Amino acid sequence: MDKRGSLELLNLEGSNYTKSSSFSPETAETRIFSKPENRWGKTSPSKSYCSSSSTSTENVVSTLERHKGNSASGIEATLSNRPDDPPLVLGERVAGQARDVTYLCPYYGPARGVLTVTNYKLYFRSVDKEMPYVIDVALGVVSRIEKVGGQSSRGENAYGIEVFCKDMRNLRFAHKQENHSRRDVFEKLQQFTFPLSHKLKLFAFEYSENFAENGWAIYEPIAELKRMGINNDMWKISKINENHEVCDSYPAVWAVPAQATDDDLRAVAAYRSRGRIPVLSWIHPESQATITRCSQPLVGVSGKRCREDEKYIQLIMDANAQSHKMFIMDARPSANAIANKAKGGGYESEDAYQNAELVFLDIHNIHVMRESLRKVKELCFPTIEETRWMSGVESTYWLKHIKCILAGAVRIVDKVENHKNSVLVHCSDGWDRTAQLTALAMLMLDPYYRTIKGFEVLIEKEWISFGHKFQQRIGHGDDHHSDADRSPVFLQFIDCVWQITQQFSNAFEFNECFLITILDHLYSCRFGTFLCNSERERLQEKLKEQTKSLWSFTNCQLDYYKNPLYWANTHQQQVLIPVASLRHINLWKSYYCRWNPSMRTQDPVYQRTRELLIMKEHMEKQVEESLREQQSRISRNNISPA
Amino acid sequence: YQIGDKSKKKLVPGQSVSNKVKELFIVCKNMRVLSFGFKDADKDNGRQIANGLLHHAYPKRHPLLFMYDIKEPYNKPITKEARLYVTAEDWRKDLTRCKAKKWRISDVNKNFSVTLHMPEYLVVPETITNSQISTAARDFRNEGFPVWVWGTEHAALVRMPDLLPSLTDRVQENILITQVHKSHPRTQPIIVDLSRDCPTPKEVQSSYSKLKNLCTPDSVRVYKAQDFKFYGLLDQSKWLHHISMCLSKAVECAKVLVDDTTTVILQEDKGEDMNCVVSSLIQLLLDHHWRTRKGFQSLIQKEWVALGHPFAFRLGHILDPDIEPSFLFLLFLDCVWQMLQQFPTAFQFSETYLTTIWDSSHITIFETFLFNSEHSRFLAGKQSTLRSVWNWSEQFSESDITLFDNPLYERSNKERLIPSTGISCLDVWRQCYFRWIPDLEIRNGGRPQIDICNRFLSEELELLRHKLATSNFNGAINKTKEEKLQILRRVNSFYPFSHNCASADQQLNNQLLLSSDALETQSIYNLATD
Repeated sequence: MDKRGSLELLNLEGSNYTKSSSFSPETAETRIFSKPENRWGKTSPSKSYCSSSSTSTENVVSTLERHKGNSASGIEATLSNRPDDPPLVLGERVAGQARDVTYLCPYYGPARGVLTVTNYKLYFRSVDKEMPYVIDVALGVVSRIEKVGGQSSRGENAYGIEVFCKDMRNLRFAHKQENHSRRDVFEKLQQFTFPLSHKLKLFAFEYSENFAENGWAIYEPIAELKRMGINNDMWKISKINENHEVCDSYPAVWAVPAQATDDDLRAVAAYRSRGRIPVLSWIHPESQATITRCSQPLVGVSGKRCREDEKYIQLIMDANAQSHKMFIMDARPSANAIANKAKGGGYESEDAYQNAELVFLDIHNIHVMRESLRKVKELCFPTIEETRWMSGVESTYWLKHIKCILAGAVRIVDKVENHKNSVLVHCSDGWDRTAQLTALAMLMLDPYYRTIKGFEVLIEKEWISFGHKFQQRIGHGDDHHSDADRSPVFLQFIDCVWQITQQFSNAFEFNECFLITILDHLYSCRFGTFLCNSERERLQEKLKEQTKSLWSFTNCQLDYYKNPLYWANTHQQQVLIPVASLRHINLWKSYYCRWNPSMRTQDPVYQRTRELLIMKEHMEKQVEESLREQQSRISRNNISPA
Repeated sequence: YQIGDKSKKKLVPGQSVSNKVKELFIVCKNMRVLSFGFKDADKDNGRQIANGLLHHAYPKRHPLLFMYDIKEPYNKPITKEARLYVTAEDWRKDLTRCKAKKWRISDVNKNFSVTLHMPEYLVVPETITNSQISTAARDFRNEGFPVWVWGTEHAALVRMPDLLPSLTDRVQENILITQVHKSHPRTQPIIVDLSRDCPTPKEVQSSYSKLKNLCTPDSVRVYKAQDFKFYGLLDQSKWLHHISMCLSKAVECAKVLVDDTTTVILQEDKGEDMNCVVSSLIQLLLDHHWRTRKGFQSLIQKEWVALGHPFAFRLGHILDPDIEPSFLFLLFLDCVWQMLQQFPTAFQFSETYLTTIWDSSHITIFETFLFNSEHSRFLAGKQSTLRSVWNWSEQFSESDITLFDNPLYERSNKERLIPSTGISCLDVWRQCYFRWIPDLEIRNGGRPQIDICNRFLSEELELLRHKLATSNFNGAINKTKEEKLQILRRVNSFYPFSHNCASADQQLNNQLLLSSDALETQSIYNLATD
């Protein structure tokens, strides 16, 4: 079975045309497991659709890896002798296996097969020889595991395990009731899904693949600031936080107003929640209007003020000669901002900050978003109830939240681009909503961030280095599935990015598959990229030395992630202003509903454009060849009479 | 354009308009909103204009329509852009193409002697005689009877109206159905009752007016309030529910026709509303022939115009308290648009083309969508010149017409289409419904960008093909990347219906015209396969 897979993949590699025409990895997967007439994934959904792996690319890539390992170095360990064993990535090993397990597929009914648990994933393969179901889920994706039924449970398939995932699906397995057949697998699952609760390390620390690219090198803070023209007259690079002492959740390198002294910075840090002072995110190459980010000021019930903070904000405003006004965008609803005063926080009063205008963007907090996403999952998994679809979408409020965030980012962009005003963005701590807003605004303003590598830089900079608490929000390897700190903030950001790509289909170098891959590995724990809460923790954990970067993986196979419609010219500034109206915002079904086999798996527009592009490439080659032939003929003719 | 208007209170034709008209707010059938202020105008002007509008927008009788007033000479021959199905020849071509053997063309309705609601030539079972038909027709509504509209070697798609509601015995119906059965004796034909399974014209219309409210907000406040509850309001309009129902019915019938090789008989009240919608959808699903532009125009001629969809009533061309306007035709175009979204390479035409058809259906200059039947068209033709809408050059420049082409169209795509018909798989036809709301236009974004990128691509492909064919490899590329970017920069999401950069349009179209050559060669290929 496995051999068939890699064999077909070999063919896939062999023929240039087929390979590149299988635009999204899903196609490749389809080709491996299903009959060719499923080209559109529509006509007759085959079983194999159910078998989508945790990452859309993973199946293909792991097969590639296997193939490589097999032929190049002949490592037998990776190629198992038994057909039920899963394909393994380097550093992965089988931890437990259960036979005679039934996977209760919500779409095609029960399938009997073998369930394997490794230190990285859960793998199920049905015994059906014709068209095996394959379930392949990275354990990092799992949020909760439960036993279903007990020894005395009656009824078919009443005894087993249920696995709840962070990527919008649940899996149910039924075991035979004799001999505690689920015990071993269940324990292993618990152990490797929640390694931190079992004093084990996350899989990222064991994963030992070598990539030709080094994703850790993609983001160099100073190089990125230089790209934006800093240092300049008004802004300087400060290393005051080199040891993460001024602010432990901020990066080591900051860009701050050139005139601010280290003492100023320290004084401001004392007045801002968790020391997260206003620092530069982005600067307009022409007008010098800036986007800066921070956390809320510590105003409190008594209405405390801070001279240094006020002066510092004035410096930011003065750094932009084009405007004598500045906007402070508070991402929260005003009621929440006021309520924060009771906890010592609050917002800038316009009396204290002259020439600054305060705007509340009305974006709700992480708890509201978590609840909203829970409803989305209810709506999308396992099946869609068509007649109540639209009212269902409405009642999740998810799209309204998306709209609010987009509208907020559009407001920032409008101020910076059209009015040449500098904008300071914050929420409470400045690591959730603030990151969403600044990153989206930058994406709209700067075409660089719309390239694949530019987008990686954007995530590294605005999210990872500025201390979005990935560990807390995702809960990697931790079994407290109902932890109140968990929230889909980053997912929501990616959803917003997807919405923008829908409105501007040719402005982005990357495609949807790239976004989904990022989300899959947000949870997978295979790469170090999204581990830990801050740069400081990452240094302590030696992530760069001990784990691989997700970008190493993606940048080795850029072809998969390229948008055939991409038509931008990065040398020219072009600003995207999406329309933040629910009339344009759709539910991202190819992500939220992707486990449903009736979902269209790929966009035919992309598919067709890709085909045309390949045709063009082919013909260009032909033209070149014919031209060469013609020329050589001419030169031969010139020689022969002589 | 026909107009429905209101200002503070809705203006109803026939009612006297007060002489204090401050503002006139006009809502068009194609969801366009116009608002005029009369503050600075003469006192009486507002009233005059309002009265004039009411008079001309809601004529009471057909001969008051603008068509009868045009004096401009017109001598275009009968259009070649579509088959009209007024002659026996058009039906014969279809019979041959479909390899339908046991069917014949009948002239039973010559001089409209049997029914005023159908054309003179029709296709009926081979075994049935003309006199049998005329006898049976008396028992049916609209004096109709089952007619063949499409088929394969093994099964046929047949349309018919209900029996008269006063009748209790179904003798005549049974006789005719037996004859239909004889033409494809292998399986018993299935009768699909569309008045039961599909929305009624009334439901469609009430749904349309809710959708219209959603698309024509009269103030920013309303717009924002609607936006806030958009999905709920859209749900309540039921528009997408109706589309879903029609599409799934069509998919279901297509399956019976092809997979079970069983004849499908569509039956409905008068056989002139939902029959048109579902019958044309089935044919689009099964037969790639109709997915070319000419094919699509012929399909509309056949299913809607010739077989007597009462356009004058349904589109509300004339005002009559007894008639019930219902935009079933828009529902149909929207269904086609949904298919185009799911199968963007299967159709030769673009969404702009569909939108334009809808717009044109309200222009009372063109006869195509003006009459209730071939018979009334025949009568009108005696006293007036008829201009077919399919002569697009009457309305548009050549460069505009190129926007009707779909650059993604794949000639070789002859597959049967099986669209997903669940509501979650449907979308709102933004170009058609939202284009008059400038706030909703995405600058430099939206589908036209994809469209134009692909136009460039096919242009390049054509050039390469040409080079290879002629072995002349020295030609230069016709547009630099810079030039292309310039064009892309000027295209917004409602293009070519954009309001944000209207001035540049003509020039832009001309630039695109160049790139359309490639597409045209494609369409030539298509003609050849006709």
